[in-house]
Amino acid sequence: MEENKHGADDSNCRLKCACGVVPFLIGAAVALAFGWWVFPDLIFSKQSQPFYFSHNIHMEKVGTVCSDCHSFRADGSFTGVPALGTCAGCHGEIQTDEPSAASTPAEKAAYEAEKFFVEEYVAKGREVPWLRHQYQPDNVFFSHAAHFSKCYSCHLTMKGSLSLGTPDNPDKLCMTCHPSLAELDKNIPVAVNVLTDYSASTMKMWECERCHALPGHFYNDGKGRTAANNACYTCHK
Amino acid sequence: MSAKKEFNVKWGMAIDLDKCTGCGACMVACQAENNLAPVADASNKLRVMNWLVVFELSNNKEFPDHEVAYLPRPCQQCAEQPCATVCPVVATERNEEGGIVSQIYPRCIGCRYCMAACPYHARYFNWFDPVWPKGMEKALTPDVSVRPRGVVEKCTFCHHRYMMAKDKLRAQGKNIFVKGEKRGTKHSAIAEGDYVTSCAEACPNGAIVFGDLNNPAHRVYQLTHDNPNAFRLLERLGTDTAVYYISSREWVRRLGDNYLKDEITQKPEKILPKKH
Amino acid sequence: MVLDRRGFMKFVAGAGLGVMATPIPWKLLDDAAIWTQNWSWIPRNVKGETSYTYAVSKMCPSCVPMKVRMVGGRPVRVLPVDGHPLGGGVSSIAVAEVQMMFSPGRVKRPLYRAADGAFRELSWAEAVTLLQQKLQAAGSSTAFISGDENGSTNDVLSAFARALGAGDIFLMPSEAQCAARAAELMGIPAQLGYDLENSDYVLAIGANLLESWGPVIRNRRIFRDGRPVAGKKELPARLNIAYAGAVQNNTAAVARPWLPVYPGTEGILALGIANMLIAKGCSFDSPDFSEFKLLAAKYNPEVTAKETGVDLKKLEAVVKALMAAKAPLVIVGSEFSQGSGAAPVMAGFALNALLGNINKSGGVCLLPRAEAGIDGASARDEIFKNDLTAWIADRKTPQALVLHEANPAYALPGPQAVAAFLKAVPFKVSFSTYMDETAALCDLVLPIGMGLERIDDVNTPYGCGKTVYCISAVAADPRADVHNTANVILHVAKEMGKDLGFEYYEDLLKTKAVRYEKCDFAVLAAGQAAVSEARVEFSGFTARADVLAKALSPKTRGNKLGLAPYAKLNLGTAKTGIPPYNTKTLRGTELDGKDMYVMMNAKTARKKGLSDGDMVVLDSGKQQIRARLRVFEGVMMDTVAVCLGYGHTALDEFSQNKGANVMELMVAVPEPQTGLNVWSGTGVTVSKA
Repeated sequence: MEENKHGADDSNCRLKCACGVVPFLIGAAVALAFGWWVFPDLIFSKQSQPFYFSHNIHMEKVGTVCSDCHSFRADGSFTGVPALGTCAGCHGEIQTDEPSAASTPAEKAAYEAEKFFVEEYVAKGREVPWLRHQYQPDNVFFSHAAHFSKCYSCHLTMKGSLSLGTPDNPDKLCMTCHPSLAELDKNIPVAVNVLTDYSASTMKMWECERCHALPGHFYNDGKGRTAANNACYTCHK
Repeated sequence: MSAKKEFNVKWGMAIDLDKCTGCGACMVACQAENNLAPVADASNKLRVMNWLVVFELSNNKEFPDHEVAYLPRPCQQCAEQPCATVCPVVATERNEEGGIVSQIYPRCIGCRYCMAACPYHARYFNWFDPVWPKGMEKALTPDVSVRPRGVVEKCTFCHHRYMMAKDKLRAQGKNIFVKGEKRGTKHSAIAEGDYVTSCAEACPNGAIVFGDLNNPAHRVYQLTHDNPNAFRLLERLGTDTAVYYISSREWVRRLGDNYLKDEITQKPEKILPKKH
Repeated sequence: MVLDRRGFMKFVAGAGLGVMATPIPWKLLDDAAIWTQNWSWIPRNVKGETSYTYAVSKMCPSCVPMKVRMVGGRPVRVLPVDGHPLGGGVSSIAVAEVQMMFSPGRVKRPLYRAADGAFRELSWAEAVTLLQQKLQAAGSSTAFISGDENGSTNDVLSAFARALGAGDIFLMPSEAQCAARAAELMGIPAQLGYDLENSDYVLAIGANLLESWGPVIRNRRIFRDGRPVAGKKELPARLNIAYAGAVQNNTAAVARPWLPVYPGTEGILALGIANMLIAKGCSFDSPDFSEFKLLAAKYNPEVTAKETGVDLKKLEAVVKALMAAKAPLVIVGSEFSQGSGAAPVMAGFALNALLGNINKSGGVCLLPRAEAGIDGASARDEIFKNDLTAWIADRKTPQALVLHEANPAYALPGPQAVAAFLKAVPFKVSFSTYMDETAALCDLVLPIGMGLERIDDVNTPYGCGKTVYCISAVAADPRADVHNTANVILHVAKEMGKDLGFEYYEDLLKTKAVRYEKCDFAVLAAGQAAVSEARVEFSGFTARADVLAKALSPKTRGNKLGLAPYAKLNLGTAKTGIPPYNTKTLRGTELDGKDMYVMMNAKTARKKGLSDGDMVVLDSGKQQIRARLRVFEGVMMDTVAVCLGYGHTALDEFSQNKGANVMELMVAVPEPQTGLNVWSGTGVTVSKA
């Protein structure tokens, strides 16, 4: 009895002790779950593009390459998302075959999207309000030209992991920062931070510094002469 | 003070005060290019943002011996910056080929130490948010970020134009540097005139000449080397600025520094010890 | 298990610790920092492809050609055009012309004055019908005032006036009008031009060459090219400028030397110099040369010095330099670009004739007059014969008044009297970009595009040394519901059964463009200028000593101070007011809050018992204005200098409540013999307020 009592007390006490950690653990678990699964959805709003666009169709079926649409202008600036004029070069009229009964849903969707685009934007001369996944805030001057010429000049001839593309595959340099879109045949919703208005894919300064702040990437010849590419004005405006 | 940084390229100006009529076109061109907001009443000069100011100079003589001159004052882009050394957050520095003193607005905490330090009063604090008359913000350029209240800003020698000129070369597959005539020197491959500041571009009198102070082929080099009429503002402070002024009038040159009554107006290297 | 207080605390502690291992605090901290850098109400940069279009400023009096930078089709900057006969830089007005498209003072839609006196909006169709009715009713009792002396809209207006049987068509007073009248009186069938490009010594008398006289940007480009920067080797200047005027203005700041003279004595100074030149053996061929010589002899150096206050030593040096120069040129004008009459220009022409530079390289050139492009329309010089101030003083009130880009209620001498005159006109319509003082008085206000937003042209501005014709194409989408004045008038005329021969203004410009060799409309619209070196042969002139003798008689100043108004482009024009980006160019010694500064030298101030910073009243006898006094040594003795461009009551917050309008003080009086009115010699008393 006494033993029992003692045992019961003991187990009670142990239970109590165990119970003592449980709320703590539950709290931690709830917080972790909220922080890792719920919070990202709360802080980023998902916005969709004005209509369906497939990089895959353009590259696989039409045979365009990246630089047909994303190219440098004569003044050295980069087009990024092409303006309507570029698209209208091909899409003055609907290019996709009119879907028949045998068409797949994907083909139908592509036709519908192009029809919408041609009628609503090309015919009316309205620029498409594309949402961009990757862009830098106003205080950053990002130069595609600089990255193309400067990074390439060394990394094209480098071997192994330092190689950022080869003459056969120059797009590899693009893929250092941009995901490969050749296979992409759907619209990915754009995640926009509700607090900052930045896209979730916006590269942060520390990401830029992975290259910019590499000791090998700027030198100081000891005579006060520097060729720093990590100076503030290399990127900021 | 850290060691002075030397660069292959040193962008600079030579402003001919014998040519400036003080019309103000440069000031307006600067505001439009750099997205400065207009204000209806600009009387309070301590609150008004102006990267470039045209000052009126007087020889302080009575009529009819009076003479007047006008002096446009951008940021002097010192090689020894009084401002950068006091910035607690490294929001301003001179660390890039070209020698332009940078100002990074999101980094600035608005303490205004730099403004107190700048002997040229070339720095301005955003006391208020910039406000444009309705719709006028549509006429802003895409090249310069708009600054919110609470940060310091200043003339950048239209640094964005430097960036764009370099990009143009790169897109043409050209190098951005070329070898100089003197051994071991490099010059910017940007042709003279392909990168000029908005003020220099607008000036109908050609009073502002912009270019590389280290490149003997540039007009600005020729105007500022061994020119007895060239001077810099407060040269004896040793700030080693990149903005030279030119005047054939001694009284104008004398106003460039604080001379004692019996001192003669001369080049500072004659007054200063070799090392300072 | 019951959740007790202790359990809850543990839960919170666990959650608190757990949160630290999630992105929440760190991400929020980071985002909050970014958030503070991107306030939603701060405008963002809008990117796009850069392209350029070309236009010529219709707002800046110097007709400066502009290269407009567009970003994604949106105009953002005005840049200079080198290599254009009128170009070389940008003026302080034109440089922010893109921004001025968004000025709050713009008229956005057609407005009419309702019975209660307030403006109401109406549609263009209604407005045009109303305009047509009123003009139909007024018929030949319709008058026209145009504020754009270089555009072909005047052709349309004058052809319409002719069709209506109306003779009252006017241009706002200008140097060009004085010069046109002078040429006519001297029997010269040409527009006076000045070949600054090839001159090596220019004496500007009153003409504020580098700020407000003629096509200023072109003048300044010539100054830029002619004056090498002072370098190691003192390169001799190819162009020297001497300036005579009452105020050490923008031109005087770089002129060597500045000859201070009393305001309004430009013509007398010119006669004094003529006398010195004749004494040195100069002469010209004119039926009345002997009379001219006699008249000039009256202005011997002593009399000239007394009347104009000029320093004889300096003057002699200038005359010597004129004689020594290869291509000397004398330009006589007004320090505020108006109101000095024809006589000073005639005296100036005589001086140039004495120097023998008429139709010579670097001299005065006789340009073919700008002709009208519509049958029945008056040429510009014909319109210049009508003097607006005299007509208003006559008070022959018309039934209807059509104003195109004109702001007489601000810009003419005695604006209050002008406003009273306008009020008496039963129907007045203003075609205007901005709601200026005159538009605010009108019964119908019709918005027109700024130069950037409309197609228009420029016919050889006064001051050019060559015939220059430019077309300014539409560079930007209009920011208001606008129509072209000429198009509206052409339409109304047609509806009234008076077809003027063109359906659209553009068609008229096309026929004008054809007149110039090798320049078709498209080339001109793309920004190129048509230039012609054609000159009118110089077959003698009459100096008109009779006119000069009466018009240039010395005035007695009494104890009044001479009023020296001066113009500065950064204060905009009467049409624009002070452009928004230009308020910052006004120094603390020019404007302080609502108070503008007037200037006089220390000796004059001491004489009047005034000191720097005093609030003073300037009294012309009829009107008064208040201002603060700035003691500035760059002003002639017994003279008070007042800047034009302040004291707007209409337009927007950038122009309003800033100083007073100096035109209030001025009184237009007839210039003997010339049929023009003058208001350059006004005297005022200045006293402490």
